[in-house]
Amino acid sequence: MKQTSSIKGHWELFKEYVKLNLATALEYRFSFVVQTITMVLNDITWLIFWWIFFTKFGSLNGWQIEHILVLYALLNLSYGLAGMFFGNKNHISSMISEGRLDFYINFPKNILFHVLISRSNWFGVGDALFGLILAAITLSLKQWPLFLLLTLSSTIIFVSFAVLAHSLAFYFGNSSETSRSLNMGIVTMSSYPSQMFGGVAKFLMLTVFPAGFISGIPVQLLYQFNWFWLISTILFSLMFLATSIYFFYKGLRKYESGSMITSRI
Amino acid sequence: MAAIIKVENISKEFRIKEKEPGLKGSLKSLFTSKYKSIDAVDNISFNVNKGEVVGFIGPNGAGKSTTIKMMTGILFPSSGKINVINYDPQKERKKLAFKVGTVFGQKPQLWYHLPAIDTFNLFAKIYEIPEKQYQQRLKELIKTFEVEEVINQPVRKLSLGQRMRCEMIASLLHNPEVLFLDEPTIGMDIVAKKRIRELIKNLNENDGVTVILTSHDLEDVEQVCKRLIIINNGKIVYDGSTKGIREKYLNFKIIQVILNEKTESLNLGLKNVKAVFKGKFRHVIEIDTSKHPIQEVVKKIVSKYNVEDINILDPPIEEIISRIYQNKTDHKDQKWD
Repeated sequence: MKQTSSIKGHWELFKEYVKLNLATALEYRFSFVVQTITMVLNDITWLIFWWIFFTKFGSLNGWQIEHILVLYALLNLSYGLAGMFFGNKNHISSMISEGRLDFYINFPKNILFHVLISRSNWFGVGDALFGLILAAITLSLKQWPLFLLLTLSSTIIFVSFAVLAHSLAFYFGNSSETSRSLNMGIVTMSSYPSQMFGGVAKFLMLTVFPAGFISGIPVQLLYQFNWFWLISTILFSLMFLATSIYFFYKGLRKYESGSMITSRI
Repeated sequence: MAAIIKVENISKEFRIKEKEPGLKGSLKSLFTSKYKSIDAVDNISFNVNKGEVVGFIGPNGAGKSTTIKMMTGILFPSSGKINVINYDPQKERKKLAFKVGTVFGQKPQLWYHLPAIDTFNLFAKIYEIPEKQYQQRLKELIKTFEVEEVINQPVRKLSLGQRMRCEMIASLLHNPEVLFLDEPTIGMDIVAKKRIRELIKNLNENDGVTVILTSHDLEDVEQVCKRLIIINNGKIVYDGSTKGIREKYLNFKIIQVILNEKTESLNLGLKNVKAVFKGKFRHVIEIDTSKHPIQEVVKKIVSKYNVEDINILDPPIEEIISRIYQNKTDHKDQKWD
């Protein structure tokens, strides 16, 4: 029997979870389809709002409707991917307070990675598809490699931010609502042109509440490429990931488990 | 024989926030937080040898599950040392996980909406078991646990007993040396419990798996374990043979009788029968089984009274613990066998 866990082993596990989660979603096909359609309709509503805005005002600090379309493409694709493949990110705090991390600690795998991949929000498929369609409409072929790289970095920031927000439960007990509000906050902030913000808000958006690195800076990079900001964005996403991992494992030492009767759904 | 598990002076302290009742208390707690420390496990030590089956019993909140969780690396002890198969569960969690299996009766591992076979396949990936080896092991386990008919049905449709057998298979796929079972028979009927007990015994006798079993069902541990550790308020109050406990403290049973007619008290004309509760229709008595066989007492009750229902129960664990304390006070220098 093996005694170590390889990277290949983690990759195989990731693939197995994708299959298993898809099988679970298919058990509830109707709910899956309804959720997906609802998400797409929600996204379209926002685009209609922005279309009316730009028709009336022309531009916003240099931003045109096409920039908004790219922002939505990037935001939807990265948020959708984060939900599809790391769907447990928004459940970490309740898992901590209800003692549901026991299951993961008992296995010879990286705990945080295992937690994140073990659930999928398949309605993220709707977001991701919508993002891809928007990107196909607005981007030229040569913009695609950069777009995909920036999508990856935004996905990493989304997941890391959720891990940080939900790990608060290790330190403050049941923090599910706070963590959820913080996550909603970063999605909302990311869905506005970053040029709208200045001063302290801008500083926060490039540090602890990094909505600027999720959407604003990537959209600018796609139209005005700049090596400094590209490297900064990539480095920031990796550093943010490392911080979230540190914060999670530091908190894990305080984990108190629990005796709540649970089931794996 | 070499100890496979060494637990030395471990304690686990939990900090619990105290709040006065009501809205006033909630508002007050916003500004002044009071914490209380609770010793869930208080300086306990024991060793377990390879091939042993050890039962952990104690009332709810005694510290049984907390101890198991520290041995498997889920919880960090506040102080003390643990060594399981030469690994430190907290520092070498991943290595240890390849060698031990865990079943938590109240925390199922199986996917509720999917067939058990899907979870087995996932676990094979988690433990990185080569496909051929996995298929062979799965075949053996399915046969031993008699679940051929149910592994392709969604887990939500299985009975508790069937589900627990599948849970055990999931924990045994990687051939663990030590199996931790936390309340594996919780909520089961007598037949299902009996089957699970037999399977645990077989695992130990045929495959040499060391088993640590927690339960608050005395019969579970009495049937399966040769050694018993009784925990109360985070402390070990007994560590010795099950036989010793059976002879000293399990020599009495509780009989609950419901009669069809009003009766002031059960008069059986037997010594060593103590009335525990006297109602109009319901009566509870305690009998010393070393003096009167249970059949004799039941026969007497049925022949003398018009009985609607009768229940024979083991004494509650709290009663045994209190008798142990009593015995310790009475025989301060006595050593456990």
